[in-house]
Amino acid sequence: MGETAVTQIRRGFVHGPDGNIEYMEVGSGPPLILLHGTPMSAMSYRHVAPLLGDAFRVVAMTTVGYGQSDRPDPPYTTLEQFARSVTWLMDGLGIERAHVDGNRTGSEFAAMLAAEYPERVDRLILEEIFNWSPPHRREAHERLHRYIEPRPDGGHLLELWRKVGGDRPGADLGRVSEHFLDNLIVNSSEGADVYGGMGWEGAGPYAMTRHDIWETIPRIEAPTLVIHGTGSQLGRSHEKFVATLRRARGARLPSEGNFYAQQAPELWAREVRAFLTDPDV
Amino acid sequence: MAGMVRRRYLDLPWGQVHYRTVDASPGAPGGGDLPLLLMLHQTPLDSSHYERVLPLLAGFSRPVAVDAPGYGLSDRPPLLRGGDEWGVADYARLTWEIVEALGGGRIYLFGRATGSVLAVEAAAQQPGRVRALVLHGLPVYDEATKEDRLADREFGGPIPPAPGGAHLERLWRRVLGQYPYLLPEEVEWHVERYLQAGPDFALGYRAIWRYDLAAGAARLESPVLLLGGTRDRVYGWFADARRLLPRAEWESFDDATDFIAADDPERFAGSLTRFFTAH
Repeated sequence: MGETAVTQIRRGFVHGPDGNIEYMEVGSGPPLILLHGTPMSAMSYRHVAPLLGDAFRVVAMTTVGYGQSDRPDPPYTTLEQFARSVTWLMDGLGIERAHVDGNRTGSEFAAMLAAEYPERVDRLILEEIFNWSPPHRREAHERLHRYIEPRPDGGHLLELWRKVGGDRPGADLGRVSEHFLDNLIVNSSEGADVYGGMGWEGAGPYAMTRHDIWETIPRIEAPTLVIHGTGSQLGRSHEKFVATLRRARGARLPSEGNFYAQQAPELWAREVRAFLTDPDV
Repeated sequence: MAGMVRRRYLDLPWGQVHYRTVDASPGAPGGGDLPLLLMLHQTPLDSSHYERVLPLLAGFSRPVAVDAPGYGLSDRPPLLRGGDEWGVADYARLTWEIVEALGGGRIYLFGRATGSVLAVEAAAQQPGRVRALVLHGLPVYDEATKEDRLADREFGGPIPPAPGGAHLERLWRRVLGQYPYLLPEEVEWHVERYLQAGPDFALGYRAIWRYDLAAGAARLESPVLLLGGTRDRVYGWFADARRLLPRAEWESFDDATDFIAADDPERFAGSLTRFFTAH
């Protein structure tokens, strides 16, 4: 914690009907809200958010129930609930209307937010959005987010460490440790009565894989940038998202696997800035 | 309990300090005027350990459990001019900065293990400001042990991340070695605290190993309650603590471990309430 390069970052909590919601913010200007994928946290943006701090008030939210944000009781099961919690963050920060950029699970929340609360979303960025509702895709998430039961010798931690890439040659162990902690916090059997074998980590994926995002996409009025990585398998739906949204443009950005900001910070910042400041949007 | 314990940060010139509290309910009798009760945790835990206790203390106080700098979500303290690490006196001064930022006044003060040493020094620095002090598991190191500990890289050295994850196994064994009765989920909770603190989680220990506790104790003027538990890892010092603070009241919980605040919050809060409200 507390490296000099990121001292301009402030962490905080707002207090909504379902408890504490964690965020971090940096910069000033029109607000831009970042919604992360599963299972990460607001702080996963701390190395990239400052790149836009000169022009935007960049606020990264930790999804309700993840990281340091409180777990809602009863557990959330719908994208609408997650989307509503974003409005609580905005209320707590005095933000009426914001640009919103969501990655993976966060893109589904962002899409639902824009559909349900059009007055609160200025421009929208959907990174690696996909329709996860068909049952075979649900199963992929149930495998990926499977709860790893603690073992008396602690061996499960090594399994989790490998899952986040700790054993990959040349891995940045500082970053891996942060990601490991985000994973460890939600590796919990709590919520298993709802989320099954995924345990608490499955909250976002559960909601996401039980909603047909094609019902939501046509309702979105906000100008939208759709980003899929060139190496992303989800990119096969890229053109359909761009075509189905009312006012959209698309970008395929170089990636290994899914595109996410932390993988290509400068590229991400350039694309986001160009879209959010384009007078012709 | 969602929405009851509020989490916030204080912004200080060198970084952010995170704490948990319970706000007075609007319209509660005396709601806004209750004295602060500051709670200082043991190394390397954080304020989440007091999550279940805080609401039980809100009837007579404004309870605030602070993450020590370098632990939980609080930023790590900067080095002092000259390159030294913060000492107990520096942490204690921060305690008063926090009190001022939260409205000042005369406070109740609680500390557990490392936190109890910080609490002694804080009370010694501003004797008129502490209504009453509860010290839960005060470690009374002798000089030789302090020196040994400062030189012991195994106990007090950093555990950096290792490519294969060996550091996780080391942390697991360390927690289980200290508290063999913990269930796997509980060990995992502790490991999470270590990881949150980062590789150099022993910062707080080093501060108290350099501190002259007897000198601090001699400057205390506030009424003191010494709390202990017969299964507590630091219970071996309970008699020493009573000798060090002969005028202190004391209470020993039968069969309680280090973690009574989380395991039996009603009993723990009951003791604090009885003592604090009498002063």
